[in-house]
Amino acid sequence: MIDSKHVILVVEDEPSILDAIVIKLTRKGFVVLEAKNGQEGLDIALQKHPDLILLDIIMPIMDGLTVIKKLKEDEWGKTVPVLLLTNLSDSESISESAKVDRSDFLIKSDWTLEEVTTKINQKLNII
Amino acid sequence: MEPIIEVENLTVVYNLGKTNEFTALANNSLSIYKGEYIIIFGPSGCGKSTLLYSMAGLQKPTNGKIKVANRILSELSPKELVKFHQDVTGMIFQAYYLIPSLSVLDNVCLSLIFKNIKVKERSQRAKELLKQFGIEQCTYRLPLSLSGGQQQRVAIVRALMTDPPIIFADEPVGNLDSKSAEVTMELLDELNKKYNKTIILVTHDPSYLSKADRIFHMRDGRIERVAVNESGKKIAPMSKESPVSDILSSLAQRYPTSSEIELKSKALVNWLVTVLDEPRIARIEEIIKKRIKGEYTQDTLHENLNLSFEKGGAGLYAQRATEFTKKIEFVLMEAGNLHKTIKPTVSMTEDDLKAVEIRKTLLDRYHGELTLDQINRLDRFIRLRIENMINRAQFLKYLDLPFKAGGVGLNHRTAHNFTNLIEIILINI
Repeated sequence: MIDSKHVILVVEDEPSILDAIVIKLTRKGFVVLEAKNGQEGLDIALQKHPDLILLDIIMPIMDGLTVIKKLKEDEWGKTVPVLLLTNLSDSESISESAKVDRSDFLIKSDWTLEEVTTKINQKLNII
Repeated sequence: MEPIIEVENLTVVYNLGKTNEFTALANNSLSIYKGEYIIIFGPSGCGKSTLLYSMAGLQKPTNGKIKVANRILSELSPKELVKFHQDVTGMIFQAYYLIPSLSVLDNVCLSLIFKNIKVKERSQRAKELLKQFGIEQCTYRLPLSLSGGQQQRVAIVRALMTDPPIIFADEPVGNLDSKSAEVTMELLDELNKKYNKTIILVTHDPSYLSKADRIFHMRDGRIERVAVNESGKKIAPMSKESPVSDILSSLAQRYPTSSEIELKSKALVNWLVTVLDEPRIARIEEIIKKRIKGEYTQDTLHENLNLSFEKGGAGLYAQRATEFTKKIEFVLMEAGNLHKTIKPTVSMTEDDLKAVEIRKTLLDRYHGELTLDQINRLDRFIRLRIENMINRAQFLKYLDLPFKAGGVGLNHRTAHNFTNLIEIILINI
């Protein structure tokens, strides 16, 4: 269990995936915020300043890449760690355009919940 | 598809307000679709015939609404009701009710006489049908000179003369020997499969249940449950409120006179039991039945599973009694949790939430790890199962199928365990 309560924002439009991640992270001791589209995610992020954002790319209203672009217009938003969730095959060019590290790109068909949690811990330097 | 018959909150009370008041039907609702073969089944006095006659427009409801072929029966004038009987319904009674002083030909032509169909036309139609049903040699004979089976065939021809879309049959083979009964039931089968007649048949004999597409099981004036015949035609859309469990359906076919609680108890026992003798299995079923009904607490359940057989218990070793108790309590708790009010949101309906809860339950017991996409796909198949869009066999197939082929990609054993567990939870909701 994590001692300090890190806050994770999960932005994902697929209800079953959102629910699964929220439950898993809550059980692991994180405080979890959730949003079902990019606009909602951006609003919550700028308001609540979570420690990390788990962000889907393909979403209604505002997609993940636009969210990243708008986050980078904010002083805080430039520094917040972001992990991207996607099923897109062309992840290399997308990570380049999003200026996101290739290793922060999680393909949904490859990553299990436990692995996502481990990745979050690594990103936040939690042992 | 719109149903051809819709019954809403039907109640029939005989002798209302009198000291011998009797509720024959209590608040029943159902839908029947064109081309279905429906059997209404139950013990004597359970209200089967009352329900049949109500739908046929021969019994006035005390409360409720009946709509048949787009006609609300209570809104029909007497003249319209006659036309309804002429055009829409064909009746077959247990006692045939042929007029003894009229020939077979005149008996079957009666309905067309009242429709002002000319003699030549109605006689021709009658003779064609009598030939089709193998009784043309009886055309000019009086009914009492015929055997029971022949008389019932005449009655069927009479019912068909106006070519009605719906045939109502009240214990049509009750007075027949087994050979005649077989022939009669085959004829009704043919009317349904070949001529697409909607058949609604009342019987207390379980040996005919396999003929139906769906069976309405009745007890004490109520439809207790609706069983789907897996080998029947799937015309009626599956109920969203109560997904048909294949386990429950197949048990219902083996034990047609068992109540719903008895079937649930049997299903739980089958799930738990590996090798136990018959008397012990029966005893465990009784004990579980009391737990489902709430007559036993969890502690009493355990106590009785452990208590010696001679003293009225199941005689299980303590460890096994504990294991059984845990499993039974788990299923009943999960089913109970799912039964609680789940508030649907804009993005998640009640079925979505049920699917999520069931998925959580399954994954809590699964120590492997699924990818995010597998979780998403599993939710989708659970939802399809809850909504009855796929049956048990299809659900198992999709869980087992590799992910790239469109399945969830679970290993074979986990797929089987998940499937059995979800079925057990669903029947106890």
